[in-house]
Amino acid sequence: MSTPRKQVRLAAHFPGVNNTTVWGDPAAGSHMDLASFAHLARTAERAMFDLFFLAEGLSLREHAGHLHDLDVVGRPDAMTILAALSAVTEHIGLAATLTTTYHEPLEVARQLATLDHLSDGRAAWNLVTSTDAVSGANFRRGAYLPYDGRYDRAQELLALADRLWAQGPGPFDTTGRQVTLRGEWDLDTPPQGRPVILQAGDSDAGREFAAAQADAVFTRAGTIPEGQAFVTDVKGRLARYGRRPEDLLILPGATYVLGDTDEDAREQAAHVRRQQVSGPTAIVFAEQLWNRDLSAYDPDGPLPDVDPVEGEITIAPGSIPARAFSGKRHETVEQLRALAAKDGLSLRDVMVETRARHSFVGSPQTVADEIDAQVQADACDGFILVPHLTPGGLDEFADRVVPLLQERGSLRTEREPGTLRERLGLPRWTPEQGAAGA
Amino acid sequence: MPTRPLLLAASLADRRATPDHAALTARALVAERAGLDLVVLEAEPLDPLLVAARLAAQTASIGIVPVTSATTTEPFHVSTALATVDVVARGRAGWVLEVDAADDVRGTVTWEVPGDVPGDAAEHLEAVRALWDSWEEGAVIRDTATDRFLDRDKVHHVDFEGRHLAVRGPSITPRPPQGHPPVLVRVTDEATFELARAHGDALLTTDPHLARGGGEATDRRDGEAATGRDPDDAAAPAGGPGTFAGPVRLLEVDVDPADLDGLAARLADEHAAGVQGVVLRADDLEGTLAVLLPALAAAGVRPLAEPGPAPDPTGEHPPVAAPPSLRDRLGLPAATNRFEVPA
Repeated sequence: MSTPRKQVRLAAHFPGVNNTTVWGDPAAGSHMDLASFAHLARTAERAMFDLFFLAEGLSLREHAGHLHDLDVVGRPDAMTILAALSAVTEHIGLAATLTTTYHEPLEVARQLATLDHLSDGRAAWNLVTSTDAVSGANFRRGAYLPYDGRYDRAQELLALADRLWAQGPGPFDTTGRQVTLRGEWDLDTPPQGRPVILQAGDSDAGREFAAAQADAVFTRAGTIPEGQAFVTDVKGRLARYGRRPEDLLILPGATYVLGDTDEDAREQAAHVRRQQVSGPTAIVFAEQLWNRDLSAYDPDGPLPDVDPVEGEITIAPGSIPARAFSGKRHETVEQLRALAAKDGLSLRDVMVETRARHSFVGSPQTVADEIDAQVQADACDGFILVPHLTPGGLDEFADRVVPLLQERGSLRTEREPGTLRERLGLPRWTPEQGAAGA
Repeated sequence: MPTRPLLLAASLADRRATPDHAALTARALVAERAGLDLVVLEAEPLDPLLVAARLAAQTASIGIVPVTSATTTEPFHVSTALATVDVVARGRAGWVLEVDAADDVRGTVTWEVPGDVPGDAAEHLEAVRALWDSWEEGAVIRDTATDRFLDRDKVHHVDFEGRHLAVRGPSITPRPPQGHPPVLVRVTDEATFELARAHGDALLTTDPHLARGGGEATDRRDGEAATGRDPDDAAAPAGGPGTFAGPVRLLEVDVDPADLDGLAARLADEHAAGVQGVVLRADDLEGTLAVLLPALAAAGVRPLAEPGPAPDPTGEHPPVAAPPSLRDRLGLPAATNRFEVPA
């Protein structure tokens, strides 16, 4: 008797406001119209994906004292566009990223319950925390939350939402370190009981929060051993919350470039990477690393011959890549210099090489093999795929890779009935579970 | 002066704890097929902005107007959500702004609700409009020659600083198709009437006297000095009846299904008395409209509607022709942008 083959879980990430999205391609369309969102969501739905995923940003990115103007800028409100998509899709899960810091607890509870009602049980929430002051300046309380208070707010907000979703109409009252509220709730328990919750923090606090509370983790893609180590760590934390390994899905974000052959795909990927890293973008990337103005340098010339500047981030405050280089700027610059010298690379070439890698590059067969190998080896449970073109970037994957995954029995060919939570094999959430971990 | 046809709207509300979204959609489609100008989506229990987005995707021509509280929401989120509804509706979104009593909502949000809720609401509304203006038309340039997606000189910090709230901006969402989706202020007292007169594109009231254009005598000059609006600027909407200046006035009416003929006669009288539009609150919308619309047409108050385009069930293939904007339906002039320098 054979055990059923482990199923690949797939999510489609609408291309975001970073350099992954190639907006200058002749095939690139609107990043705002409903038609673009509907096309990508319906393509994912037809291809048996589980989720359609949207990121969030509550301020425009800034660089060197100006709005960053090289990538896609501007997006709709995530929950609002998902509510519209609930009308033009039938099966796919609808996931929005919402920070617990700059959304009100009752607003989050009401919006997620509303989306769950409107979609008949397909709402999902990627729960993130934030403390950035640039976004804070857009809200009534400003940048009110200290860094170490962000998970207090997240936990208290989620605990309240859980209580309201479970209790149905009636009064409520809660007192916490960050969230003290009282009032009257007026909605019945949403169809899923609790919307599916994703968590995206990679810190130790984030992993623990995921083990206690989340249904899925949105993480970084890596090699099979890297993935296995992450899975072992995070799923290893589940038992202390009375949860089983299969109660938490691990979904790395991944990019891909397809071609008729592996060689063809590599050529196309090289072209896409140069589109993703224009000359001006290469300078911005270098400035994030060097932490100083490099606008006088030629991206097609050699790497800047000046030293990077450690300490306060001046050129790109709030930039996650700029922060990630902190403490290792000199070391990283030396590595890049060695790479440039070895292969005779320009500044832009180096940035293409180091900042625009794709997770999967190959023929449909190769990409299907690699995706399935990761899942069958328990390096993850599936992927959140980020196409580089809006809105048609998933079409080829749906048409050419998905049938191969289905052929080998790793992806369903028919829709299971039920809510998103039921289809993902996740247990119905009870408030006691959350309490056990608290 | 010729009088415009009576504007007609329906208020959609489902106050049950398990709302029936299919029934809400069905009612919105009844309103659209009957040629109504807009539907008002009442707040709670479902989030009205989300319901609005869904109905915007399910309809093709009718105005979609969610109600939100200025007191318990963030202007930034309301601004981006309404802009998104306007994108989905292709220029058919509007907004009913309500003001809560501070004592009713204190403790339901994690900021301190000020005692001056009308002042807070005026700032909220101003911040929302400033955020809509923060992206000029044509800010997205997709210039492959310079590798720039955005003309950053056309996107602005709003740096709004009021007594109750501050918003730096810019918005994360580009300028909505209408520029400024129409703002309808729900009038419940003197303070909300002043708010509507100073800042609203339209007002909603259950008071027939106000709906007919009354209330103008209440310290008009003082009111305008206080709000900074020049009385000579308070022009009637383009093509409006011209009987009074200021916002379009809409009367909210509870429908008694036993007296639909009486309702038609009353609405004709109200129209003659200066009421510009009516928002119907009816349990049986379809039955109400079946009687009311022919009667209003016969009385010359409002012609029967021609059938409009069918909604696009996929969201991917909208009709080429844009629907009439809600600003056009309400007779409002095109919105201007505070950041645009006139050529």
